[in-house]
Amino acid sequence: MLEFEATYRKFFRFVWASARRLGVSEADVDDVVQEVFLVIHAKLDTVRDPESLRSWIYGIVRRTVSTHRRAAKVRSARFSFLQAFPWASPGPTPEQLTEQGSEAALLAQLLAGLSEAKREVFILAELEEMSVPEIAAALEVPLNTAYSRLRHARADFEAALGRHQARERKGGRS
Amino acid sequence: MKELGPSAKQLIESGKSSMDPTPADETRVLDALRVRIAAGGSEPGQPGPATSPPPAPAPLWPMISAGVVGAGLLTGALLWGLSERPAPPPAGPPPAERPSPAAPADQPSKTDLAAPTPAPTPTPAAENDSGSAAPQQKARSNRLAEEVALLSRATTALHAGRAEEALRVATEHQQKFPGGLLSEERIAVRAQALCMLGRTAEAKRDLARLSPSSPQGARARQRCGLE
Repeated sequence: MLEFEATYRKFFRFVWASARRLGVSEADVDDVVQEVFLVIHAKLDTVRDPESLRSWIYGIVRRTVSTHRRAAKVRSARFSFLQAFPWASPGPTPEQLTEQGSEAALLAQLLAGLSEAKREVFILAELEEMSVPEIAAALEVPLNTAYSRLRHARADFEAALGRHQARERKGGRS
Repeated sequence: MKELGPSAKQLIESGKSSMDPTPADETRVLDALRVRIAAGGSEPGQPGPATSPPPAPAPLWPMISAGVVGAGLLTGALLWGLSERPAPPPAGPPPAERPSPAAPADQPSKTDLAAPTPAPTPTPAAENDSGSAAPQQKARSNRLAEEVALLSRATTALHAGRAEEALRVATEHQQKFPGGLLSEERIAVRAQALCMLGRTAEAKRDLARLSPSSPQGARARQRCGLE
C-alpha cells in the first residue's frame, strides 16, 4: 500500500504548481492543496497501479480547483479563470512584465495566449514532462485528442514566441 | 510529432519553476494536513470528496471563550498602537464578531475546522473535561499572539516602505490564519502594500471584501488614494 507522507513529499510540488497554473491564487493555494491531499489521503489505498498515480493526482487537482472556482464564483462574480492567472490579473500587463526582462513572465504570457485546453496539455507535457498517455488519462480524453492538442499547442506556442522575438528584434533596431 | 525548438525549450526551462512552492510551503501545508487528518478531516471511503461541497465549518464565534475575547481586545489595542493614526478604540464588539472576509459562509475554509482546535488528538472526552479548558484558552491566546506578531511584522515593513515584505508577511498570515480574528486588519495591510507596488486593481479587489464601514478599509483606501 502506498504511504501517504511519502506520496505527499513526492507530489507536493506537482500539486502546488498545477493548482497555481490552473488559476488558483497565491492566497488560496494553501487551502486548495490541502483539499487535494485530504482526498489523496482518503483514497490512496484504492490506487492499484502506482504508475498511474500522477495522472490520478492531477485529476484530483482539476476537480478540486474546479470546485474552488465554482465556490469562488458564488462568493464573488469577480472571479474568472483568466483573472486568477497572475499574468492576466489587473496590474502590470504581460507586456510590461516582459519588458522587465523576466523569462517567467514571458513564458506566462505565451501560455496565457493558448486556449485553455491546449494550455493544459502543453503544461503537463512540456513543464511537468508527463507522457501523452499519462496526460490523456489525467484529462480523461482520448489519446488522439491529447496528441492533437499537444501538436497544436506546440505550434501556437512556437508561433507566439516567434512573433515576440520578431518584435524584440524590431525594437532593438529602432 | 514535431518537438519544440531550442528557443522554446530554453524559455520553458528558465521559467517553469516560477510557480513552484518553497520548502517552507511544503512543511506548513503538511503540518496543517496532519492536524486536519488527526481531527478527522479525511474520512477514507467518502464518495467523491473532491467534488463534494466542504462541510459547514464550526462557527467561529461560539468557540471563542471569554478569555479569548479579552485577548482579542488586547490585540485590538496592540494594533491600534501600531497604526500611524489612532483608530477608534476596540471597546465595541471584539474582532471575532466581524464576519471574516477570508472565510465567507458560502465557502468555508476547511483549515478553520482544525485551526481553532489546539489539540489535534481526537480525544473529545478530554476536551470536554473542565480541566482542559485552561490549556485550550492558552492555545487560543497563543494563536492570537501569533496573529498579532505576524501583522506587526507586516505593518512595520509597510511603514518602512518594504511593500514586498509586507505583502509576503500578510500572505503568510492569510495562509496560517485564513479565518483569523485579524483578517480585516490583514486585508487592509495587504491592500496598502499592493498599492505601494502599483497593483491598485488588486488592492481594490481586496478592499471590496471589507465592509464599507470598516475603519481599516477606509484608512487603507485613503492611503491608497482610492477615495
